[in-house]
Amino acid sequence: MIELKNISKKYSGAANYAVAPTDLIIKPGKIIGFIGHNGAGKSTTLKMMTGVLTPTTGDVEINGYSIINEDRKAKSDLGYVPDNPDVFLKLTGLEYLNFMGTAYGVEREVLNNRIDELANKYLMSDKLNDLIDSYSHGMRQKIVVMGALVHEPKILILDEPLTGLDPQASRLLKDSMIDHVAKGHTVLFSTHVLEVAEKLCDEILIINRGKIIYQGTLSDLKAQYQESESLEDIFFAITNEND
Amino acid sequence: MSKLKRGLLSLLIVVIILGVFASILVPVLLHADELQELIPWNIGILAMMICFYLTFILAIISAIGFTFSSGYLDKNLDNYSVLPINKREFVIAKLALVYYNVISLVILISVPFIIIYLVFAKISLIGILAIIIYTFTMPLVVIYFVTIILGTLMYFVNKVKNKALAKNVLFSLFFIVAFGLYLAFVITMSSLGEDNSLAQVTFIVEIIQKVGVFFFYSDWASNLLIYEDIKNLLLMMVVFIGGSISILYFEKVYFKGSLGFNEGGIRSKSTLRKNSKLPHYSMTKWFFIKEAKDIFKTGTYFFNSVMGNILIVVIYLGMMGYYYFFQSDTASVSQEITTMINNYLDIEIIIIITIVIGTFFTLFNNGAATIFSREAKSLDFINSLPLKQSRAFFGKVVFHGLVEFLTLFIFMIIPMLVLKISVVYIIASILVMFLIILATILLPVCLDLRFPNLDWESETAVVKRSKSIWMTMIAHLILISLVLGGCAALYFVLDIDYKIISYLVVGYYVIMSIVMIIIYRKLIDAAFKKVRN
Repeated sequence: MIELKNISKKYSGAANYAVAPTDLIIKPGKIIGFIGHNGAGKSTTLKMMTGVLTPTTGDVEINGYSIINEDRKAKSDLGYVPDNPDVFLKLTGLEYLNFMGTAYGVEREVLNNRIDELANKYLMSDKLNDLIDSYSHGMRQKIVVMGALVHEPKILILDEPLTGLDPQASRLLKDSMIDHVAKGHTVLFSTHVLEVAEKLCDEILIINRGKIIYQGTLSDLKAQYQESESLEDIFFAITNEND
Repeated sequence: MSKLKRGLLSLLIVVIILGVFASILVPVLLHADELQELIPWNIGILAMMICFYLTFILAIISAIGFTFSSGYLDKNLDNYSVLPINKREFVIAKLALVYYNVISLVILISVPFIIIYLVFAKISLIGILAIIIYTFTMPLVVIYFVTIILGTLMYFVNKVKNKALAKNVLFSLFFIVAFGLYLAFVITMSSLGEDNSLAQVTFIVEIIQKVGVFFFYSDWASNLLIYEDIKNLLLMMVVFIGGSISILYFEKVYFKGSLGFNEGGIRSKSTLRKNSKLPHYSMTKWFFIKEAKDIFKTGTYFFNSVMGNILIVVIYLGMMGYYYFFQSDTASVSQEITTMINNYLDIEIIIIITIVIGTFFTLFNNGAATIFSREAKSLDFINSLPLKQSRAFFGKVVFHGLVEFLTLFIFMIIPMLVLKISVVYIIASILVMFLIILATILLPVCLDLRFPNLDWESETAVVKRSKSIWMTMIAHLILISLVLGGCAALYFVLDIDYKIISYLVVGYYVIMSIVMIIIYRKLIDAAFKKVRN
């Protein structure tokens, strides 16, 4: 479970909150889509959840562990896929996965098997010995997703994971999210592609100008906005209301 | 930073550099008479000849390095090709940058030699004019040759599939060039006392003069060398026309040699992973491996960090190898040295020698000065991992410490082993080395943690324009002046026994190491915390 307790973020020198004080609970076993305009505060919120950014106020609890005071325990339950997959470019894919396994304390034998499993699933078996620097954007995204899954995290957080992916890679990732949730885990991802959120997500979080303006199921949202047929229409309607 | 601050900072750097030069020049000036008795030529003239030779070697190496890095390692090259820019102007702009960088180094190295010349030689207007013309034209001529050779090589390298291997082979060629030139310099200088030394020296200087396109006049060069003006004028015309041709040629080969060169590497040769045992490393070791791979697999990082260490080791080993294998009197010289060492050497002298060499060597590796800044793109990701970032990060520091240690080890310990010096002295030297490295490697790291450059877009920007780089340079110059100048002052001025001095300096490095560790631990946590805020 992810619990946001009065969490907010104001960057130094900024007049306004990037994320206004918010309370939120995300229960396990669901795919949650986090949608909003550019600059709405999606990445900032995700980064606070993963310990990348320190909240200005409040705290985040990951399965009961504070991300501020018990960060290593909290992060152990997380898998994070950043919006930019250009990390550790001079390591090979295999070294990167081994590194991630070490960071998350995965046992050697388990790690070995998991790497093979993920490599087969993501069609990267014959690419693992190459430098990540030589990968295309889609391949880099795949290796970062594999790295985030190598320790079977209870909560998988992905920031704009579908950007730049070809249809096959996109499909693989969506299937992975569904498989992950089927095991009782949680997936939270931000996206601009509302059709994907519509088809994939159990719950939707909508953020506008730093404020979470909706949390709930898509069906409840559609019930509120009966005249709108698609999530896209509802999204524009709800964000215009809150402007 | 305001213009005034920038100006003051530049002035400070100049003052410090001149101060260091002065600290080297003062002993030469003070003991000029003894030196003059040893050599047959005027010291000022000899200084200029050495200057011309050294700056020539430096110009070649730096021209190759700067042409390669600015011309071929710029990640934006592929983006420039779609712009409607004049390609000739683009090439000339790139070469102008190379010229500026090379000439800066040439001028910097020339300064102490010019000072010696001005003090000791009969100064003439022609002589000064010759130095100025040489200083500004020699790098031009060197760059012309480099563009032709490098441009041709890169044209064919870019057609090669395995670009990573090709890059590594080219880097190795730089070492061979540098080593060959330095060996030639050493052979020439080492034969100064022999009968045919004058012919050798004049031959070398003739080549340099022809490249530098300047002319000696007999009254300035003490009748050493005489040239006819018309021959040199014709030579000058040929060289400048040749220069224009070289730019046109470079323009033709450059774009085909540079575009697509910065691909990350090949993918086609990868094979399926066999289900073999994965190596198990700690997080500190993982960051050590990561740092090693980042440095060795990124040309810009490599050039600006460990290349200096590798170069100096290669040249040193080559020189030692030459003397050991090719000089006939090596055995007797070794025996003489061993006898002298056994009679006069004590542990304090070993400590002082280690300190002098170790302190000087801190200049060679700037990699530690961007250890945090270079991770700008990965910091968010590192912060998301469940690890103690400060402890894991130490792996990167250890890498640079190891590079320095290995360099010093080769310089100090291998000759000691060859000369069969006592094990106690060797252990003492290693311990002192360890102290020096611990203190000096953490200094640039702390500067980078305190003043990180996290807004760069290219690797060149982070290694050339980070505050920590020039702050490290100033700090190292101050350190060298303090330690070496301090030792000299304590011994020559205050007449303190060298044994006491050796232990004082060891004590200084012990205190500095402890202080740097404390500062590092505070700064690393603060740096990661700042990124999270």
